[in-house]
Amino acid sequence: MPEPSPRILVVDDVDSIAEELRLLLHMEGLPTATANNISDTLHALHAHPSITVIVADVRLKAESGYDIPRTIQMDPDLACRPIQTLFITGEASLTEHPAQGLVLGKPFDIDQFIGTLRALLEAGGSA
Amino acid sequence: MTGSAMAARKSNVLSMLGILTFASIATLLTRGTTIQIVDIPIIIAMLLALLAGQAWGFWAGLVVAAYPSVLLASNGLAMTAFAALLGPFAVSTLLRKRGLLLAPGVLIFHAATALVIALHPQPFIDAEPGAALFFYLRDAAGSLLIAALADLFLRSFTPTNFPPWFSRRKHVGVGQLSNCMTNLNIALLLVAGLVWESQFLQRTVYQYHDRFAQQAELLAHKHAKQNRSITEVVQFDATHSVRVTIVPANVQPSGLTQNCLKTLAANDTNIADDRAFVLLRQPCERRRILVDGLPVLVVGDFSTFVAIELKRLLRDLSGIALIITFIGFYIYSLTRMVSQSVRSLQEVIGRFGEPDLAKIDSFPIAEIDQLTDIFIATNNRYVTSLNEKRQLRETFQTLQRSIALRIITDIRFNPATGQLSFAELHADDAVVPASLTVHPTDIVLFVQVSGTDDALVEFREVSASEHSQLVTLRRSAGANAWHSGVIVEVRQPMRTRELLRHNARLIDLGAMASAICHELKQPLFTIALANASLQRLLAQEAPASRQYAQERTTAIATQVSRAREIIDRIANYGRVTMNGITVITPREAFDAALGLLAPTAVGQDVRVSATQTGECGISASRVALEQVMVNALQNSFDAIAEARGRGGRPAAGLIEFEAHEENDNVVVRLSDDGIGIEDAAATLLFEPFFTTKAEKGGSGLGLFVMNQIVMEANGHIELRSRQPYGAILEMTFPKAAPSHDD
Repeated sequence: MPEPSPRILVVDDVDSIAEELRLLLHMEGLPTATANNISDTLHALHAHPSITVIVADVRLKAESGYDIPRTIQMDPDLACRPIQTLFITGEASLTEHPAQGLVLGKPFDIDQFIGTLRALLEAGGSA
Repeated sequence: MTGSAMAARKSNVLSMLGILTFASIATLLTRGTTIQIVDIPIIIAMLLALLAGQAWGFWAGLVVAAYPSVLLASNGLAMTAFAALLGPFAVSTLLRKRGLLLAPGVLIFHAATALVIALHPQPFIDAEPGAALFFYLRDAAGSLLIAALADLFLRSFTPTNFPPWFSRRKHVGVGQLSNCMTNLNIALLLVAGLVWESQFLQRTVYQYHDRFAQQAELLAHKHAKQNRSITEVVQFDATHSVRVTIVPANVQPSGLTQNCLKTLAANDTNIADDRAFVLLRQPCERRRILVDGLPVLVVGDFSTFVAIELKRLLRDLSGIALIITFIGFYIYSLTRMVSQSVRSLQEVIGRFGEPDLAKIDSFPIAEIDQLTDIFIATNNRYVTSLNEKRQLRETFQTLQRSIALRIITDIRFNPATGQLSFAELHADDAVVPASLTVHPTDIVLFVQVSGTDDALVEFREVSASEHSQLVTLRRSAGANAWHSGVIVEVRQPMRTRELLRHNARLIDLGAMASAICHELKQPLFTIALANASLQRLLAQEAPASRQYAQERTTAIATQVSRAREIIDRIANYGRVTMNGITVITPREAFDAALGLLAPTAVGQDVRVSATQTGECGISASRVALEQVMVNALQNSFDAIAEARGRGGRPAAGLIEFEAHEENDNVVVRLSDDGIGIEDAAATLLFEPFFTTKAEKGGSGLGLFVMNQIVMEANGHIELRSRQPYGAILEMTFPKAAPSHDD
């Protein structure tokens, strides 16, 4: 049976976190792809048009996860795709005063996280 | 002749001379005797003996010369002197052991003489057989008394007992003074007694010459015829004369009692006058007449005579005794009071040095009492100040032992050599020059307080860098000089320094808290995700799940280990330990520090490169060296962030670590392209609490502690600007000695 197309993209510079998230979401019936930086993120988005939700760590190695939405908008092939981004971070200060979007602080409640993702997927699907 | 023999001879001579003098005076006054030719040999003989200092010769001369006179003539001087001198001689020899054999002989001689006098008929002693003997004994007793007192007085004039005006000694004892006063008193009494005797003497003449009466009658007759009252002097004997007063019968002569009057018969053939007149026919029992101007009591019989004489003698003796007793008691009381006061004063002086001295015995003499009060007050003040001084000395010594206290004056500091010179006050009040050499890093501390009047400096000596010392400097005496101060040793500087570093590490950890938290969250989050997957797998119970589950648990264990490593690394860094010295390379310490600060490096996008050439072994504390590297790295990160933040060079972000060996040293350089350092701050960089990051919460301890650690490893640290941007931290350590295991 072929792997279903991923609908979610997890972007985190820590491989173990990205992999665990992918496995967990897979068990929840949410096929997921992973990326470690913004460049890989763009590749994945191009490779998998089915991705509509991005779960991105705010603090990537030398980059900021906050740059992902802007970078997507700057890509002509991706600018029109309705992609929603959910940010996750280990820094408590960023969760209290989020620069943009929804920010979840690590470690977060898994059920709440999955619920939020499903809601985002449904909103993106209906968009 | 020995000294004491000389003294004794001198005493004897004076005594005899005195006795002779007194006896002569007594005789002259009492008897009215003049010195006659027969007395001259006696006097010459006695004087010769005196001059020769020979008591025996003296006595012998007296016996030989005087004895015939005594027997043959009515020689009063001889008699009296003989009796007087022998008498006291007997007494004094009786009192002395040597004279015990002599005294009885003298007394026998005395008695024999008296007997001879009694038996031999003499005009002098014509009337009654016992009268001569009585006279002898009476004169002997009276003269004996006077001479004995004189002897007592004069014998007290020994060389050791001479009165102050006689001797040339400066000090006079109370006892000696008392003796002199007593003797002088006796002498005065003797004189007074003799004067009394001569003034008020009522000689009692025993009327034993009947011829006197007959003559008186004849005379009375003769004058009666002439019918007038006359005073006729009738020669009584060669030495006495009697004045007879004949008055008419109708005139009552004064001073005569009725019993003394006799009426002559009118038909007395001897009297031609028919008028009645009174005639002293016979002596009355007792009547008073004038004899050469002296009032004389005339008695009729011997027994009356003896009674009167004895009474007079006793009265005189009693009077003298009373006066002597009175004055003697007075002198005794005075002597006793003085002696008591002196003894009490001696007792007080003997307790000199006692605290809270007070009088115990009495002080009858006020002047000595006042003197003692002054002495006691002075003693108590002295003892108090002595105790205070002793306590101060003990306190000083205790402080010297406990905190190595040193009290110093004339303080001079030489910044070129680091020599601190001073004069040190010791517990025994000695002032000794001394000096010490200040550790090079602390020289600047003294320079900073030069010219101030009140400064406190904590420093270390070159020779004892493990201890700190604290010096107070008072009253500036010019550049790098002060008048006085105190040095104490700070006994637990190691702990303080360690605590300081511990605080510095805690501050570092605090600054890294954010990065630490972030780093810990990663493994925790991974564990949470794996756990969530496991839970779902367990719910599925699918066969393929088992392997998947095992992979999940393995992943969990891995992340737990990682978390533990992070925690251990932090705990080790923050721990207060007196780490042992070990051989460590700078690269090892740098890698450990970089591991701790990795999140910061990644977060700030700072590239870090590290190279080490050679073994580069350093003898240092592992934790301390890691702390140095952490501080250095952190400072570089901060400098880079600041360089970017000012908008100057966003491209800044390179830290280079390099270590290599250079001769016998290991050189470590950490350079960055951050904001660099200002020249103005260069001299203060390593000062404690100096910080350029105060607004960011910088503690100012980082470089200070780094400096301390590097110096303890006998190294040197330097921070300087790098061209064109940034700073270079250069540390030089001596190479560790090669291990013997190699």
